[in-house]
Amino acid sequence: MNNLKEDLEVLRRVPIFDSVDPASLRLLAFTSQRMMFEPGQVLMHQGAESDEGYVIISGSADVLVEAGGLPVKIAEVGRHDFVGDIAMLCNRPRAATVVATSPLDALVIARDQFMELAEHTPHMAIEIMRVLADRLSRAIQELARARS
Amino acid sequence: MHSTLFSYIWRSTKRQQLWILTVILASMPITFLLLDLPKHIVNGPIQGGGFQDPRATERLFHLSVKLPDYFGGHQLFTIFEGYDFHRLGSLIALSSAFLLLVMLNGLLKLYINIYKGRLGEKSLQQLRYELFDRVLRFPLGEFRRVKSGEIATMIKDEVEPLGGFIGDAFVQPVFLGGQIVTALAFILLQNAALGLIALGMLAVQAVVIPRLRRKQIEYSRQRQITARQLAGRISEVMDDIPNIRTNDTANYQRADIAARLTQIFLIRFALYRWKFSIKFLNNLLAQITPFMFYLLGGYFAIRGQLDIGQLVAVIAAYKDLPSPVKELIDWDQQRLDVEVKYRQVMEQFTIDGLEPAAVPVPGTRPVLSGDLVVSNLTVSDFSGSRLLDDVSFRMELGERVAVVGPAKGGAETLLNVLARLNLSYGGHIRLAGCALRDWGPSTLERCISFAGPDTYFPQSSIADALLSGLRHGPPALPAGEKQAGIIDSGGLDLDFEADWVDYAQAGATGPQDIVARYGTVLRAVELYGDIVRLGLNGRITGDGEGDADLEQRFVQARQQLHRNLAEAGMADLVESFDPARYNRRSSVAENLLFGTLRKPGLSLDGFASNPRLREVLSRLDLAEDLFEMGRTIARTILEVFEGLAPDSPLFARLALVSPERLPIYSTTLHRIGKGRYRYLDEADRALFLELAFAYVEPRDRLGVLDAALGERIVAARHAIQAVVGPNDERVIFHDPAAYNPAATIQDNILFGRIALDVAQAETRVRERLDQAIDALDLRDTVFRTGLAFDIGNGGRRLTAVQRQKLTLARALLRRPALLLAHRTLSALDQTSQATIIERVLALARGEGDMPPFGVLAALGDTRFTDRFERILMLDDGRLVADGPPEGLRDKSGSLMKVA
Repeated sequence: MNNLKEDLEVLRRVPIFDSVDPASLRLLAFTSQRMMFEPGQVLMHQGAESDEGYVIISGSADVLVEAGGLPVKIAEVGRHDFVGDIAMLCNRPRAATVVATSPLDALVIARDQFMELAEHTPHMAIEIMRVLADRLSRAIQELARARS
Repeated sequence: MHSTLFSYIWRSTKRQQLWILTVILASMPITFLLLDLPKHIVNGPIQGGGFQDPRATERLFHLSVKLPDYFGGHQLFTIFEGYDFHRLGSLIALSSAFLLLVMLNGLLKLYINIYKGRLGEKSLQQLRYELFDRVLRFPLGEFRRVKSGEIATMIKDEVEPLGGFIGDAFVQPVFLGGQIVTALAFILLQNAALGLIALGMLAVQAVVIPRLRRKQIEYSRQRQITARQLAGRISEVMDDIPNIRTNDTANYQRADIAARLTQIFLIRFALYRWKFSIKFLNNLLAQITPFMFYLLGGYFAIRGQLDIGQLVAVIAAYKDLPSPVKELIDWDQQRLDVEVKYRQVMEQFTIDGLEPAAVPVPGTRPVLSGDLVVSNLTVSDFSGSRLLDDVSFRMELGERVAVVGPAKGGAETLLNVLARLNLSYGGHIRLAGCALRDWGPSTLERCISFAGPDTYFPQSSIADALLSGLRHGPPALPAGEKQAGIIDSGGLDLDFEADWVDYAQAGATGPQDIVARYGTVLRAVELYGDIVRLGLNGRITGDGEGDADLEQRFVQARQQLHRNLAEAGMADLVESFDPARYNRRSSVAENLLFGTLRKPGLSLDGFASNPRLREVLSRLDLAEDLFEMGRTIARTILEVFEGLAPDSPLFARLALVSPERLPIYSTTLHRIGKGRYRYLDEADRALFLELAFAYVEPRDRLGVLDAALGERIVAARHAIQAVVGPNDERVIFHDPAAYNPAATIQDNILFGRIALDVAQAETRVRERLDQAIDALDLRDTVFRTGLAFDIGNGGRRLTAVQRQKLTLARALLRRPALLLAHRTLSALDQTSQATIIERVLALARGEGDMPPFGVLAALGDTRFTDRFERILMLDDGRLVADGPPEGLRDKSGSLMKVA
């Protein structure tokens, strides 16, 4: 049976939420919605506007980026991954398309929930900065590799 | 309309006034006899006057015509011989005659009062009708000045007192005047000096009081105007509510109304003071007269110049004087009040340039053919600047022409002139061979449709809103029974109950086949889908019998949907209502009730306190468990939300209970501690049961509802159904094989809950639902149900986009020869605008199922001009280009300039 405890367990293992106190995490879990996806269903479309992110509870999905009119798979995500977090956070169009590759269960986290949490958890803001910086440096490395 | 109230009353009710006067005069002898008879009864049979001899008889009811005594008193002829009576017989006869006269007098009074009342009321409603008729005939410019609230209050409230007055307008002064003159004459005859005193005092009253009243008139006038302005202001505020809310000016509005109310109070108070001061003075003057009688009359009597008997007679006669005088003064007071009101109202309704009075128009409409020729059209605004400057062009009536240009280019003015909304123009316009001005009233309007960007609809159904463009009259199908003609319409057929719709104009024959015409126009404006959606959320308004077949088809659609979903492997998307199973996607309360409340809009609030339900729950030992479940839920929620700022947006995500109620749960939990269910009072029990009742497992995910509890709830459901029975007047239980008239069409077909926690479940289910509806050929029924949707006050239950689409659809339904459209789709996005323009033009070319028609459309955007055959470009009121769209693109820069 889906319940809060399970959701909580998953959230606790998401790196961004590492430093969030259990009470706040419970609040996050309680106020979030569960969403089930079937294989082939799209969690998000590249370029679309949205104010939600997904924490994957079970199942797996491909992350695709359009290159020259064709979708190119750049990553695979699964349990405990938080997808769509940056676009949600910065109010930007989706950078990639995410398609479920197996029956997938996710927790939908909306921007207002996330912001509320960040406001009261300074550590989380730092953690977000760390994740962002990490991704940025990886992107620069990859860009450099692509150039050379 | 007459400038003074009396001329209005006299002209419109002369005959009735004379009749009522005659009746009153005719009733006078009865009144006299009623006063006279008791004297006869007392003097005759009772005191024995004329019956000294026990065998003596008296002749009664003798009726004859005699010469007056001073001509000798000869009896000319006898009408009725009369009868002879003994003393007792005479008593009985005279008393019976008295009774008869009393009844006759009462009946006459009844007749007079009813007659006067009817006369007043009928005249009042007629006056209101005439005022309303005038409003409809106001020149269009007038509507920029007048406020709807003020007009409404004038027609409804300000003329209201007239109703009570009209019946008395002439009768009362004549009647009372007569009494006064009689009494005065009597006094004068008794003693000239005293009579002159009484006359003098009356003269003083007659001179002084009207002078004092002038100020009162002014107060009444102010009172009326301020009250009217209040009504106008309130209606303005109502119309302006969105701005008041968004600009937060509510307190300013409060201050405005409070200031007005204070002003009204001050005026009314001054009015009261003045009114009662005059009354005081009046009474004083009336009382001074007897004082003079006593003093002067007594003085003359003491001096021996006046006979005491005369004095007593004078004073007795004077007793009869004050009451009619007082009544006459009251009447005059009322007259004053009503006259002021009448004059105030008439000032507002006396306007130059009224449209001619409505005349009966033929039911058939003229056929328009030929062309529209505009020559040297020039229009100026109030300040004299040119809105249109020497515009000339010619178009065939079947052409499809776009008018483009900047907002102030003049397109709006051009269309308003052609729609005859603006009549002050220079130059010539000929339409179908006849000058625009010379087309009679209500002729051209039937051949031309106008649709502007502003939308307004009176509260009605969607179908009625569409039909509102077809109700010209005279009604083609008369209603069965005609109302009594209280209102004199001047020859118009005002049979409101009749069907006014000109079905032929829409290309239909009656209310049945016009639905297909709705379909055509609503599809053209892309509103069809919306109406079907509204229909799905509506309920079939059944005519009772004959719907069983239809309902059965909806049940089949339900089965079809579930079969389709199962075949597509999507059965999980809808959790259907199974009488034997707990529906996880419904709340506990919904699972217990397992049905729909018959009254739409009724919620399950308070269900937890329902005694029959509680009895069943207790019997099945479920009450305590559900209560404990509620207590657990409350504890968890309070823990989770503890310490959160009260304004946190996260509270909005709490579906189970409204955040304001959380403190109640907190204190109650604290108070009852671990107290057992059976020891708690009713309010506490209900509080936590409510929480359990609202619980939906997949949504709230607290894990407090397991399969075992679900099964027990289902058992309780069956027990409840056994108690309530199948034919309860409040609830209809879910039955897989039956249609549920209390539920919406969509709920009937779904017969379950969409799994909102599955991605895109709603969209996917919708698709299948649409297929099921089509498979059973039910789309038309759903569409018809949607047409019955109530669009709300001013159409506000529709979105601005829907209202604009509906306005255009209504214009198309009228099958115009020429469609004038001015930025009709301005609220829509580009894509929708393009699609709708494309579809309407296709209809105009005759590619749909309606006759071809011409279009003259002012567009706010040059992007869509390619779809038209010809473009008129207006800039700064001048026609700067005219030609096919391709040609215009080549002209150096002019299209660019406007775009």
